[in-house]
Amino acid sequence: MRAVFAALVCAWPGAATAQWLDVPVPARPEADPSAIEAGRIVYETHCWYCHGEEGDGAGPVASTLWPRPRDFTIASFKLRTTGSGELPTDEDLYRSITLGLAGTSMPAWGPVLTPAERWQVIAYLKTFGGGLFEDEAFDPYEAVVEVTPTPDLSEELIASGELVYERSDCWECHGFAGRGDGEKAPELEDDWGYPNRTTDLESSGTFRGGATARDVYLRLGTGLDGTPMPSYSESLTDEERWQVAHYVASLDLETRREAARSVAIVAARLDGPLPARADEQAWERAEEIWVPLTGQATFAPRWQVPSATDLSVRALHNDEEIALRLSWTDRSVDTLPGDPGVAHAEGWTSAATYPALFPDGQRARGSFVDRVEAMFPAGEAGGLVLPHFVYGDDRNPVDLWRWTATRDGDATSELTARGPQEPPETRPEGTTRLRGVGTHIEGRWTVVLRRPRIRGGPSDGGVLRSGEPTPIAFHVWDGSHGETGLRMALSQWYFLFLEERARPTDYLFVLLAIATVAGVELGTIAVARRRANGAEVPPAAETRPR
Amino acid sequence: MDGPRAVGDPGRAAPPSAGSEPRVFLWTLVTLLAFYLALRFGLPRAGVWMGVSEVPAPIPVFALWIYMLCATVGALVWASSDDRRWRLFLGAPVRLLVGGPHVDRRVRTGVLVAVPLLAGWAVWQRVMPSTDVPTVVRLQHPTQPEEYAPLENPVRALSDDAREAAEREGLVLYQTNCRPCHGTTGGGDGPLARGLRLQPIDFADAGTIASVIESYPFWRIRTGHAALPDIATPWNSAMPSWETELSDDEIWRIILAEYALSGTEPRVPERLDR
Repeated sequence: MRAVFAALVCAWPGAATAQWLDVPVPARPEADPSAIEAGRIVYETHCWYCHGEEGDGAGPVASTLWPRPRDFTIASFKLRTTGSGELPTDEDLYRSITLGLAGTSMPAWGPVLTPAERWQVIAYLKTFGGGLFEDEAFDPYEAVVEVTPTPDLSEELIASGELVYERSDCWECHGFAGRGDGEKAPELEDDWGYPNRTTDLESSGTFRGGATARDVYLRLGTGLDGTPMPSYSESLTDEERWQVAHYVASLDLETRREAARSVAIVAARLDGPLPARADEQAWERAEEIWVPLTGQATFAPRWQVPSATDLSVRALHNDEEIALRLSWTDRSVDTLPGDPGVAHAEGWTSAATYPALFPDGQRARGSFVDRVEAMFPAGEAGGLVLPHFVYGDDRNPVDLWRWTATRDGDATSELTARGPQEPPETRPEGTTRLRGVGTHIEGRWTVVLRRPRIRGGPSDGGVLRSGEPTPIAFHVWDGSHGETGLRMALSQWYFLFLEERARPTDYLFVLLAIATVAGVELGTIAVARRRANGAEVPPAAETRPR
Repeated sequence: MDGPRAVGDPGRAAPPSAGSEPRVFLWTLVTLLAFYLALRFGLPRAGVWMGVSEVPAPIPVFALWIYMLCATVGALVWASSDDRRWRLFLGAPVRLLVGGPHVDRRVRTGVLVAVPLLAGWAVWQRVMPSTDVPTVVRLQHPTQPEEYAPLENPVRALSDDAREAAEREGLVLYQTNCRPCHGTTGGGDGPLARGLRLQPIDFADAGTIASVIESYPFWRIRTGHAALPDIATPWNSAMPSWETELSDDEIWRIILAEYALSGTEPRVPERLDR
């Protein structure tokens, strides 16, 4: 039922979801040679620094982007209404320029370029295509695929879609749960030899060409040229493509995540012991908060393409302990021992402010481990001054609760950091009381961290107190994505609250307030009646408040 | 404060029964409630309706209570300024307290029970631990250090051709180093902005780089979050201190590109006449 609801929300016109096929496209202007020159000016103002002055996708900024900007010289485009390997129509290019490509560095130009400018720049970028666009043998308008009417959404449709998804081996790349963790995914490359990241079907916000079932259906028919995503127009029937499209739309978590954003993370109170494992029923007591993560970009080495972009957080506590349940999408388990844990690693060092991404198509796979950290201000919480959100600073150190995936299972440690320049200091083993259990299922890590409510750190004075917000932040590393040290996904400061049961005195105060007001009320009634005597004698059996 | 219309009607004789008397007390309560709702929910959105601000700006609780106190006192002054009106005004609560043939017993019981319960609820709200996130007042434009104030962008003094080339260099530097957060078009909407609670600024916003002299962004880019005073919450800022990685000349070029990208001009420094 939830799947149907989610899919309905996605399919609803006007939902926040970007819709590629439904971008309004004005009538294409008549071919005009002067448009090419006008388009050149637009291109050399807005496009050249990524796509290159020659249209070869090798502008001065390109090496820091991933996926790389499209190379126009081979006239191969991801988003089309035409068959696999065909040229795009002008309208297709117009839609992509207007909307941008979600999950890439290509922004929406709709708010910046006028429709006329968009048509002009399309005329110009087609000139990079080595004459293909001018050749009538490759006329894209002859190759437009048919988009049949969207079938009515139903649970049966989604269930059929799931069967087709499994039978057609979609999971080989996208994974059984659709998180882009399929067995073939780690090896995939694009046509230029750069690593390709399989789309996580739970994150519709990264679907390049829109996330409506109609857009997904179209993509199944046309494929994404230049990427490993093929066209299924031959292998699946039209009906089956609609089924898969609706199934994919039903996997989306974006709506749920956006509804669960909060700066306050409330740890629910339990009477008994806290759960040690991620799948225990007790976690249902805690409200799930989705914390958005970003790449660490304040200090070199910076990281512009974080693997994890959302972290699910739940918290529980009792008198002695607090437990955090942290969950995020990570396509593979990376547990190689000997993680240097340092900021710089071979192949990644550079004098550049932002690293060139995956130079020569190399991927960092296997070099580093998966890891997660919760960060607190060291010592007493409170006060208005916080440590800087990237590992604190000289004045304001931070405590870290760290969990690391190892070949032998879970490793936990507690550390103190005084800024990002020096690696955090690990506290001696006997003095730490953090326990952690991680499970990796279908492309998702879920880690439970438990610790006494005294936080630890150099002063050992940090106590998680009821009724006071405790600043908390999170760090996530995906080893096979090349993340280590400051190359990480992180959050800014959030606030952790411990839910508290009312104390006996709280009830007393409330009762006292009720009694006082009721007393004043009764007294006033008595006085008012005495004054009104003679006029009207009220009936004796009047209902009185307690 | 404007009183209820139903009251001032001296032409007509006072109605004989209590049931059809003007409901001065009720209308006063309704007016105060409407005033409260307007303050609490209407006023914060006024800025949004007028297009001044993008998010509602709630008025402080303290100010809200001061306004409500003034309104209540005003209402009492108005009600007691006329003997007949004052009698009518007091009539309803007195009847409610005393009871009588003209008062619905269920209404009376309901009100008399509700008042103490409301007090209990208010106390409960106060004593239970809250999960309100601490509000932090953040100063967005702290005073720039003296040594930065007189600096001028040396690139602006170049010949037209040289300046154009410098702006082009600045654009590449911008797209490499600033784009991930501030966005390709400078709207503060780069790919990394999504996970930041303190959002990167939008250069096209009239309240950002267009409202300061050019040496201000030079100071902000050069020193980043590290030089911000506590009142500007440096711990929430992801802005790097670029002085260790970019030369002053490169920073000036980036500034030139930022103003060009956003279609804005820096503020002209004010000078004393000699």
